[in-house]
Amino acid sequence: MKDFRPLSYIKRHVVSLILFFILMTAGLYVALSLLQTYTAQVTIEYVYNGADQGLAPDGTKLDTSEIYSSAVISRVLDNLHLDQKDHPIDTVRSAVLVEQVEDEEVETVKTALNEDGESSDLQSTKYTISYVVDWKDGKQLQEMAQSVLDEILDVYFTLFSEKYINQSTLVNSISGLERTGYDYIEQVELIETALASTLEQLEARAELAPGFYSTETGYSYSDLEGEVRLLDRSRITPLLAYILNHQVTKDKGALLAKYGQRVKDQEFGQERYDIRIEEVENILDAYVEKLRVSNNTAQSEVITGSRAGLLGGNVIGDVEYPDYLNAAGQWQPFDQTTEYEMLLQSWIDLSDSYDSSVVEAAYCQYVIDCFSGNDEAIETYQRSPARVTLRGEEAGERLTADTAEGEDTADTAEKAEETAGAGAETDAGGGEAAAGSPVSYGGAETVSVEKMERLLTGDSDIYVELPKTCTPEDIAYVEGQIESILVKMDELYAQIETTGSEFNDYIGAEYIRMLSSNHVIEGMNLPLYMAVGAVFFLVLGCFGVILLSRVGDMIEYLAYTDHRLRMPNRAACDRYIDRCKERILPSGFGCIYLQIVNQNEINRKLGREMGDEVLRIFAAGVRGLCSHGEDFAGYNGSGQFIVFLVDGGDGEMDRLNTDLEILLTERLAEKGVTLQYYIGISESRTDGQYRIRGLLTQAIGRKAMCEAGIRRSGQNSEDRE
Amino acid sequence: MKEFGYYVFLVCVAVCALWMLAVFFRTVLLFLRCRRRYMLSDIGREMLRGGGLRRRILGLVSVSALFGAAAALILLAYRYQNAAVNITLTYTEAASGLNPNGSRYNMSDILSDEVLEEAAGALGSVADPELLKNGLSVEPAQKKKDEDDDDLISTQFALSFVSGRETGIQKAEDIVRTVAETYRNWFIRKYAPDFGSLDLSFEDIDDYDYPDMQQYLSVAVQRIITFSEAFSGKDAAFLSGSTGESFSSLKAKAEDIRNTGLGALNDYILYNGISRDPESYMSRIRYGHLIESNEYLKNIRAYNVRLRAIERYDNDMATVVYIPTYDVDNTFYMSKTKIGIDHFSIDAEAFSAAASGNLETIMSQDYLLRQLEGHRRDSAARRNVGETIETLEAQILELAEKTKQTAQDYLDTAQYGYVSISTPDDSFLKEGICIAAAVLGYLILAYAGMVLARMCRRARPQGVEEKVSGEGREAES
Repeated sequence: MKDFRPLSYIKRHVVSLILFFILMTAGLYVALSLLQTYTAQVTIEYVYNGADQGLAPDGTKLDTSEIYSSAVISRVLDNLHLDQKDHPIDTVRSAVLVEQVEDEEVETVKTALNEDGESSDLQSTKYTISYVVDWKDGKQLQEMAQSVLDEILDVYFTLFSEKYINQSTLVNSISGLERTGYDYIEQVELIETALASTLEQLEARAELAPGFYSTETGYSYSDLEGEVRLLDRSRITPLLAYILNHQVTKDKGALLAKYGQRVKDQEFGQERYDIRIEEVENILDAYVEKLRVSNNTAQSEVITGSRAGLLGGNVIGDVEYPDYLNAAGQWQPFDQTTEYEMLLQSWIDLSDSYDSSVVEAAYCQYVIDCFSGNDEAIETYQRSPARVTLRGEEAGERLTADTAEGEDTADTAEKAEETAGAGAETDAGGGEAAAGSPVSYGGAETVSVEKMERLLTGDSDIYVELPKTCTPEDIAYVEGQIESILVKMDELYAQIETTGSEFNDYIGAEYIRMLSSNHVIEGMNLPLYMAVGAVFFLVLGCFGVILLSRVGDMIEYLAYTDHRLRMPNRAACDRYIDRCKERILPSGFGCIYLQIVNQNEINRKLGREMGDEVLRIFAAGVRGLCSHGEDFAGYNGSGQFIVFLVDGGDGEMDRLNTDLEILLTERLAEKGVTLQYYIGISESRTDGQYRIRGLLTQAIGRKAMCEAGIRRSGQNSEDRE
Repeated sequence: MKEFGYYVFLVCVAVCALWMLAVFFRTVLLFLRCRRRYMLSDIGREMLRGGGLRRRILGLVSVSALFGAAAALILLAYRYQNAAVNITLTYTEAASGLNPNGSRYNMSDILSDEVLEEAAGALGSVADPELLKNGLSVEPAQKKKDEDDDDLISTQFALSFVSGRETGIQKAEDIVRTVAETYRNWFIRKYAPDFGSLDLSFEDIDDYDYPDMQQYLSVAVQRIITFSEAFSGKDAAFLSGSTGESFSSLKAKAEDIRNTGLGALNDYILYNGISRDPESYMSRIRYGHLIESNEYLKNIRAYNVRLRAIERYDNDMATVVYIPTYDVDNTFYMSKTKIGIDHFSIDAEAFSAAASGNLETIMSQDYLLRQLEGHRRDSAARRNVGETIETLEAQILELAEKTKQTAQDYLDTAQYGYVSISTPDDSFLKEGICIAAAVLGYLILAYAGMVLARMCRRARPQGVEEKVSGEGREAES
C-alpha cells in the first residue's frame, strides 16, 4: 500500500476542500443569523421621595409595567413609523422586559432592621429595561433594538412626567373667543380667568424647576410668568374699566338680563348656603352634646377619671403609629381627621361660599347699574364697594345670633356696633351703608372696612366716575383691544406649549436617572462562533479528505497493487493507459518499458527466493524512477514494467536509465547476481508521438538489452550492438 | 449587525493565512529533506541561481504582484465603501446621560429622520435618507459585552457607514462625516441654550403708561436675573475673559437696576403723578380699587369665619396631649398633638396676610389717584421720566448683551462646543505595508519552495551520486 501522506491527499483534493469549506461556512452563517438575538438594555433609577417604598411621585403605587404599556408602545411605533402589521403591539410588549436590580444599600438596611425585629418596606429603585429583537423583526436588528428602546424611554419619561409630576395642562382655552357671541365684558372676564389659571400653573412650574430653560424658545417658566402677569395687569383691568365706563356692549338688554340672572343665582346660592350652615351647626351641637352626655369626651376623662380610668379610657398612654397595614400588607398613611373637625371645616367652607356669593352679587348689581345708568347706585358703590356689599345682608342676622351665644363674643359685637355707629357719623356716604351692616358678622367686617377707609384720607369723590354714552369709536376700540390681547395670548400660549413639551422631558429625567447608556448585547458572539465553525469545517474537511483518500488507497492497494512488489499491478497499468488514451500527452511525456530476460535462469540457478528478491530489487529501482507525483510505474506481469514520466524531456530519460543501471548493478552485485533486462524509451516530443499507446508501442519497439549486477565481460556490449 | 460580505472577507483572509502557513510548512519540509542530501552552501547557491525556474519565477512574481494589487484594491474599495467617525459629547451633563437642557440623551437621534434628511440635502447626490439609514449604524464606542459588565454611560459613539449600490459612488468617509457634522449642528440647534429670552427690544414700550413702566422693565430685568441664576448654578466660579463678569456679578447688577433704578423711576412717577393719559389711567385705578376692595372684603370675611370657627370649637373637644421630644436644635421641646383649631389659626393668619396685601394695594391706588389728579399737565416731569426710561433701557440692553456674551464664553470654554467629531486612527499606509509584507513573504517562501522541490526531485537515490561522481573521476583519470 502507498505510504500515508496526508498532505498529498489534501493537496490532491484542495479544490473540493475549499468548496466544502465555503459552503459549510456560508450555511453556518445563515443558521447562526437566524438564531441570533440582539438585546438593547439600559438601567434606570427612580430618584424622588417615596420611590424606595415603591411609590410614584403622586403617592400612588409605582407601576413599572407602564414602561411597556400599550399607550407607550403604540406611540413608539408611530414615532418610528413602524407598521403595526409587521410589529404587533403585543409582540413588541412581550419583547420588553423590566427587572428590578438588587441594591446593596437597601439590602443592608433591610437586614439591619430584620435583626432588630422590624420589617422594612424599602426596595430597590433601580430597574433594568431590555428589548429583544430577532430575525423576524426585519433588517438592521441592532439599530432597531437601540432605536425602539430609546423611543420607549423617551415616551415613558414624558408620560411619567405628565401622569405623576406635571399633571396640569396649559392650553389656550380662549382661542377663537372673538368669534363667539359673548358680550365684550364677558369676553374680557373669560380672558381674565384664563390668565389667572395660567399664571397659577406657571408659578407652580417655575417653583418646581427654577433652573429649567427651554432651548427651543429660550424662556424659563419664570420669564413666561412675567410676560403673562404684565399682560394681565396692564391690559385687562384698563379694558374692563373702559367697558364699564363707556357702557360698551353688543346688546344691552341681553347683558342686563344675564347679569340680573347672575344676581338672582347668587341670592339663591346664599339662601341655600344659609340653610346648610344652620344644619351643619345643628349637627355640631348635637354631636358635642351627645359626647358630653355620654361622658365620653377627652376632657371629661381628664377631669373626672382616675389614672386607671385615664389609661383605660379614650386618652391612651402610648403614641399611636399613624399608618395602617393594608390588604396587600403595606403600611399606608391614615387620615386621622376626626368627624367633628370635618364638620367644622364644612361649616367654614359653606360660610366662605356664602361670603363670596354676597360679594359677587353686589358686583353683578354694579355692572347692571353701570349699563342701566343708575347713577346714584353707581356712585354709592364706587365710593365704598365694601359697605354696599355689607348693607342689607341677611346673613348678618344669622351670624349675630350665632355669636351672641358665646359670652366672649358678645362684648365684641357690642363694641363693633358702637364703632360702626361712630363710623356712620363720620362718613355721610358710608353712613347709610354702615347703618345696614353693623349687625353682620358681629360688626367685625365693618370695623375692618372702616379701618381701611380711615387709611384713605382724601375725599371719596375722587372714586366717582359715572358712565358715558357708548359711541362706535368705543366699540371699535374695545374690539381692537380684545383682538390685540388674543393675538398676544396666542403667541404666549404657543411658547408655553413648546416650552411645556420640553419641560416634560426635562422633569422626567429629573425624576428618573439613567445609570447606563443604551447598549446592545448580542445573544451569541457571531464572529467567534463563525471562526470556531470555520476552523471546525476546515479540520473536518481535511480529515474527510484524508480518510476518503486513505480508503481509496486501501481499495487501490487491494485491487490494483502487486503485493509482492508493492507497486501497481497489471490492472492498474491498464487503467492508467485507459485513462490517458484519449488525452493528448504533454511535451516531454516519457515512457520506459522494462522487461527482465533471465528471471527463469536466476530462479533455476539461485532458487525462487533469490529470484523474488531480485525482482523486488528491480521493482524498487523502477519505482525510484518516479520523482513527480503524477509519474506512474507499474508491473505489467511476466517480468514487464511500464513507467510513465510527466517530465521526461531534455535527456531526463537517459539520466534515469543510467541511474537505474548503476543502482541495480550496485544492489545485485552484492547478491552476486547478473540480471539481464530489456529497456525501451520513448518521449512524446522527440518521437512526435502524443498518444499513450503509441508511445508505449514505440518504447517496446525500441527495447534494448541491458545487464546489471556481476557483469559477464563483453556481453553487454555485444547485446547492445 | 455585520453584513455577510464582512464574513466573506474574513474567510478570505483566513484562507490566505492558511495558504501561507501551508506554503511555509511545505518549504520547511522541503528544506529539511534537501538538507539531508545537500550542503547549505549548495542550497544557497541554488537559491541564488534559480536555474531552470526563470519562467516559473516570473509567473510566481506576476501572480504575487497581481494578488497584492488585488488585495490593495479590495482594501481601497473597502475603505471607500466603509468609514467610521467617533462622535463625542463634551458637555458636563453628558456624563449623566442627559442633554444640555436636562432632558434624556437619545443616541438614536443621530439617525433620526430630521438629521438624515438634512444630511441627504447636504450630500446632494444621495437624495434618499432611507438609503443612508440602511447603511448607517451607531453604537457606544465602549460597548458593554454582556449583562454582567458594569453599567456605563457612554459619551462617545461610533458612527459607521457601509455604502451599497444604491448610494452611488459617493465616498463613505464623506457621507459619514457629513452625517456627523449635520448631527452636531442639529444637536447644538436643538439642545444648546437659546439666548432668546435676552433678545430685548422694548419695541412695544409706548403701549404702556408710565405707572406700568416699572413692571414692564422689571420683566426684562427679571429675565437677566433668572438667566444668570441658571448659569450660576452650573458654574458659580466662572469668570468671562471677554466681559470680565461672573454670572453672580451680572445677577447683582440686574438686581441693582431693579431695586435702585426702577424703584427710583417708580417713586418719581408716583410722586409726580405722571401718565401719558391721566384720565384713562385714573379710570383704570378706580376700577382696580373697586376690585381690590371686594378682594379685601372676601379675605377679611374668611379671616373672621375662621376666628369664629375657633370660638365654636367646643372646650370638651379641645383637649391635647403634650409629648416631650427634641426640636431641630436637638434640645428638649414639648410638642403638642394638633387639633382643628391649629389648622384654623394658620388659615386665619393667611387670610389676614392676604387682606393686608389688599389694603396695601388699595392705599397705593388711592395715593396714585390723588397724585394723578393733582399733576395732570406737568410736561417737564414727563420729559424727565422719558429720559430716565431711555437711560434704564440702555442699561438693561447693555447688561443683557453682556450676559449673553458671558454665557457664550462659558459654553465655548466649559462645554467645548458640545459635540466633537474625530476619525479613528486606521491609516491606509499601515494596511498597505502589511499587504506588501505578506506578498513579499509569500513570494520568498514560494520561490524557496520551488527551488527546493526541484532540488529534491533532482536528487538521486543514495549512493548513486557518489557512484556517478566516482565513475566520472575514473574516466577522467
